[in-house]
Amino acid sequence: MTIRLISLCAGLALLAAAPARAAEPNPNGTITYFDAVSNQTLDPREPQNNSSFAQGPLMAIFDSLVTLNDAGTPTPGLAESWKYNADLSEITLNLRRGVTFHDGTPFNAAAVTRNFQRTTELGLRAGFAALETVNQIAAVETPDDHTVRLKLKTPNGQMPYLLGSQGGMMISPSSLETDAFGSALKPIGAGPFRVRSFESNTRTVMDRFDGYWGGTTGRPATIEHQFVPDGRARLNAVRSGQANLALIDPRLIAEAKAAGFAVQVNEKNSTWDIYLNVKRETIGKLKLRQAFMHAIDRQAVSDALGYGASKPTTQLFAQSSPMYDKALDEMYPFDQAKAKKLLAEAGYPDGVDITWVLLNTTEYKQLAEAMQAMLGEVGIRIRFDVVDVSQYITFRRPPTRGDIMMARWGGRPDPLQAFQEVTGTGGSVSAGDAAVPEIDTLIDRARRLDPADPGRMVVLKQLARLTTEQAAHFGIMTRSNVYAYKPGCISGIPAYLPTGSDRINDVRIGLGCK
Amino acid sequence: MNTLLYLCRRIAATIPILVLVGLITFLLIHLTPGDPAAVVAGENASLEAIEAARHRMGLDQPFLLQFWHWLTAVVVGDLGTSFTSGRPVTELIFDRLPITLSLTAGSTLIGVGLAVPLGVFAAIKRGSYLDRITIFSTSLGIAAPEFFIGLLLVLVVALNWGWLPATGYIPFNQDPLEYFARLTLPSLTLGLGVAAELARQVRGAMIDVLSRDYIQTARAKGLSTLSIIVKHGLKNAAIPVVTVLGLQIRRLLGGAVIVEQIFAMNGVGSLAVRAVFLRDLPVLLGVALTTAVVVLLVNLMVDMSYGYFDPKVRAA
Repeated sequence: MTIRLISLCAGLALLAAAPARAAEPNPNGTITYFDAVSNQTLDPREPQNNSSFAQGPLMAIFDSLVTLNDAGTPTPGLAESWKYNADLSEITLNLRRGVTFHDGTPFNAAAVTRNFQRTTELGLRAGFAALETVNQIAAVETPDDHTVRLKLKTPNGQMPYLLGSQGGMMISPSSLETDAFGSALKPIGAGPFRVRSFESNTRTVMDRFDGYWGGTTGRPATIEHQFVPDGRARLNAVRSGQANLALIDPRLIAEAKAAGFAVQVNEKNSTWDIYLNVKRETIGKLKLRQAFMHAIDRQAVSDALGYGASKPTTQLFAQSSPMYDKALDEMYPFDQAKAKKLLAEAGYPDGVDITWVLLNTTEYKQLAEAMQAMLGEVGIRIRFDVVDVSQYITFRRPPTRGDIMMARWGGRPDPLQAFQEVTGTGGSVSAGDAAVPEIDTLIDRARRLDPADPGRMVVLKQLARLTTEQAAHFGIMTRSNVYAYKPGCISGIPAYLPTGSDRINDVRIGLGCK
Repeated sequence: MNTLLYLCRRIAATIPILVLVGLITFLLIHLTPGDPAAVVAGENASLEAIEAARHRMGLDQPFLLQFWHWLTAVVVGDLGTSFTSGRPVTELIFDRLPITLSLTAGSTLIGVGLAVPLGVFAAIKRGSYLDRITIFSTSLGIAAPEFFIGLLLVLVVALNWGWLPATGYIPFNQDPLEYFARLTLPSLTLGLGVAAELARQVRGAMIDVLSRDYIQTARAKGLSTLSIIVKHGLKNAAIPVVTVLGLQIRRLLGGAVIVEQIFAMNGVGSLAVRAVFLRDLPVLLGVALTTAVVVLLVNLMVDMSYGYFDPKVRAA
């Protein structure tokens, strides 16, 4: 009897201990992550790596001078601290000591200088984000081995954000001895993982870098990042054991849960958004834009097509972002009568024809067709101009094509960049000028403020209100990265707001998980 | 000597076909709307960066000059460099060719392995239940699209029963067992369609051959049924079967595009799909040319096999 009781207690104790053991990180484990996004090369300056959604492996391999935390706030990275001068025309970086790249090359001021020099030499061959960083810099000074002073062409408070993205990712100088670029570059960084092997657009195998300055505790021995374009194949891979972590399509959430998998929904600063060409006579009219905003039933769209991973929004930010303002989401309730009234006031009592440049994927078409029906009910007649990804540029390249274009906005490290690119004059996704000149004025004012200055957030909030009031872009719903894995097996992938990808730098796999 | 001469002639005849394949592919890609330079310049690129990319890629040159540059490079074995990944196209294709060829070989083996016995038994037992089942199941196999068979196999065999992996490819030299395990379902997906087509062909050809006089003579001479079927029946029925098999291999290369997506295999098919979306002209041309070479080689092998199966053809 006693033996039975002891056995029973021991059994119960083992059962109770099992989940805790699974959650304990396994330093010898391998994470096989099936992702929807691939890397053509592992050169952070290469244009294909400009995509906000392609940053996962890059952030794990290449530490940047500034680390943007999950909320997007600049925190120390390879630079332990930084300081602007009074008029923001200079920023001085104090570099972390004792850091080495994966090949043993020391990280110092010379390495930083070589990295900036290389991007400058690449010129237009470099990606937009990297080029935007060096384009701000007039000169690089190195007072000593661990100090770098960047003299800027014009006062600019955005540098900590830019140095926290592709432009600030540090590559070992030994890789930069030749003019190797893109696929020819040896991807040697100073991040927590070093590259073991790489197959373009297929697989990146990374081993833990035991000399990492930020420590190795709990990090898995290996991360295998694999590109699998088909969403169902990614979920199937987790279900049948070829992967232990997968980014899944929101429509598969219910299936993943039903199969007993943990589903993690990371809401991002990434949204489904419509960019405008305000140079068009129709879209140039505020009341028509506002009519458009009132005509969309965002709640219905996100309920039907977000599968629980999207929330209705009129903004460019997640609800967890410091930039989120609930009042702005309430500015354009679904109101067809009001939309019709505004349309009539805009000079279109009999309706208006709008050409919508639309990407030819099922996801885009479903969303656009749902809204086409809603807009048609108030008199906004949508004609789709279907394109593929190589034709996106025609929306903003003269002679511009279409009046509006929907896209999966990937988010930017700095909220100011989001306003610049989506709503500012000459923005990288908008087709015309700013909806009103005040938007450009506020963008310029924010640019001249230090991120540490509380006044910057005040200006950014003003920008958020102004761009929403002016309906300078048509927000639809937020986007999330959805992950599936065995319960208790994966941890350390919080929602990372600065980019479309989440950071896999701190991902962990539990003991006993395969 | 005659065979060698014939072989040389056939190989020489493929050259203009390959040039034509290249020209048509080149023309089609240029006629398709889209801008490869915009893709290469990356997201959010400035208009200047896009123009600079266009110049680097040589896309600002006249069409015929671009084609000439490609053609002259191909003659010396250079298929160019991928616009997007920056890697030589030859490397990209050779990295992925083993996956697609493994899939094609596996599907062919399954197809032939199922079709020959099924077709032969159906022909021998013409009108029996086995024959009717064969006709019914092959009709089903021909009608069912590959993506449907693939998804069904994944759902039942991989996910519900857990017998085989649902995705991926492992090279043979890395893990032979896992190589076969991962190839089984995709090969079955493609192979079942081949088996269906081929089984009908084998049945028809065997029925025809088995009614010939020389088969009756062989029976009268007291030869065993197995000997009659294998030596006299199958060999004589082989020509139409091999012809259809050659056509099926071409179909398999096309079907691999879909099957590679379902089973997350990064073969030549998925390379081609991505190249289309990204307007990666050199990769597309390389894939088209490689596929054409494989198809022409298979055709040549089929033609050469006629000589083995029917000595009269060889003599002619």
